Amino acid sequence: MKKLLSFLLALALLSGLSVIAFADGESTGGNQTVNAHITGDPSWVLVIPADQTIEFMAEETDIVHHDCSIDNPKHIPADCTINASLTHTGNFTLKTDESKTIPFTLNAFDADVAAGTPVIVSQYWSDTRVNHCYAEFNIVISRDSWKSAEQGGTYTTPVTYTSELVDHIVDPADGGTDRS
Amino acid sequence: MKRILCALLLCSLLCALMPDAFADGVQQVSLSIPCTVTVDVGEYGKVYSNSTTWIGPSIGSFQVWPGTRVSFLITPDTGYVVNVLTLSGRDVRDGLRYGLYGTVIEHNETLVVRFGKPASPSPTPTPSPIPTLWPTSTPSPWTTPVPTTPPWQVTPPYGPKTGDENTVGTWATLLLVSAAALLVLSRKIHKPHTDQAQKRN
Repeated sequence: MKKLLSFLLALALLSGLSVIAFADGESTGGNQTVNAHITGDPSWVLVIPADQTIEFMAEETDIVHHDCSIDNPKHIPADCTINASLTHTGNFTLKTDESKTIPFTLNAFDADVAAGTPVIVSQYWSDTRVNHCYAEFNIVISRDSWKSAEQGGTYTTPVTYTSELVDHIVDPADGGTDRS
Repeated sequence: MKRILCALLLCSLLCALMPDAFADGVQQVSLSIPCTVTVDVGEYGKVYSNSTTWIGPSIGSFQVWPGTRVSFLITPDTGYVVNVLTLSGRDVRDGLRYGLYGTVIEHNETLVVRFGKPASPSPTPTPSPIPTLWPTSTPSPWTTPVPTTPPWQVTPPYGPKTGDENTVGTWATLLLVSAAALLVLSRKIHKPHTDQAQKRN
């Protein structure tokens, strides 16, 4: 009996410690896809927007364009949500000198989103089986910020998209409160 | 013992089955700021680039988008060579070919060009060069060829070869012989005076 229990325990520990989710992505000029694989039944594909270049002196640029979505959800339990969120750093950094930056703000749901704070851009609700893509997410670079760039060159910023399965319904329009 | 094992087993199973899966992806957003290229040209030459000619001594600048390849045609005045060629402080003289220097601009850069007289000829250049008026080199893609003249070569406007080029050695030898002769003569002249002075004493 002890041996059987030990075996089961080891098996359970192994499954618990195994990588229960991983992401792989690719960018071929169009949107990028990130596959979420879970040990178990639920799975989906996170589609994130393609890399983007902001026009010189553009003060507002939508970086999502409703291009973030949760595709092909499978075996999502009832009353669960898959949330896709983005976070930003608040600064563009010069490729050749990281000390040179250009600040920006991210505007979503008519409010500024602080750097490092996740904001939901897309959702899948398992009760209605609807995939929601939310409003514009604008990177705002003020004219003064453009002019303050003392060093010429190419500046980049990473926008990180994360998706997760939560066991309740969340409505981002209600400030992320439980919808159910 | 069995109870503890069962509890651990249950905990592990719960951990494994928890729906905390996630997936990450990164979108790179980029923008470009035009790069300023400053050209600082010293006297005795000129630099041509981006449809502009800077005649030394002068300082000017132009702007290009990052990633643009920029070429500079550097032409010293006759009898001068490029002594200093730096790009934002880095010595880039090795990149100079037939008066052309090219680079890809990724951020603000400053090109400094200084001209000077070529270095004095070395006494025993090895291998000994065959004196030619102009170097035999592949022609520059630019319409104005810029020769890279070694310091030992004779360049215009010194005129055609007459056979009198190697007069420095001759003159130096004559000067030495004259000096030695003068020294000997002066000793002979001064010696009797010193002998008379000794006799008086």
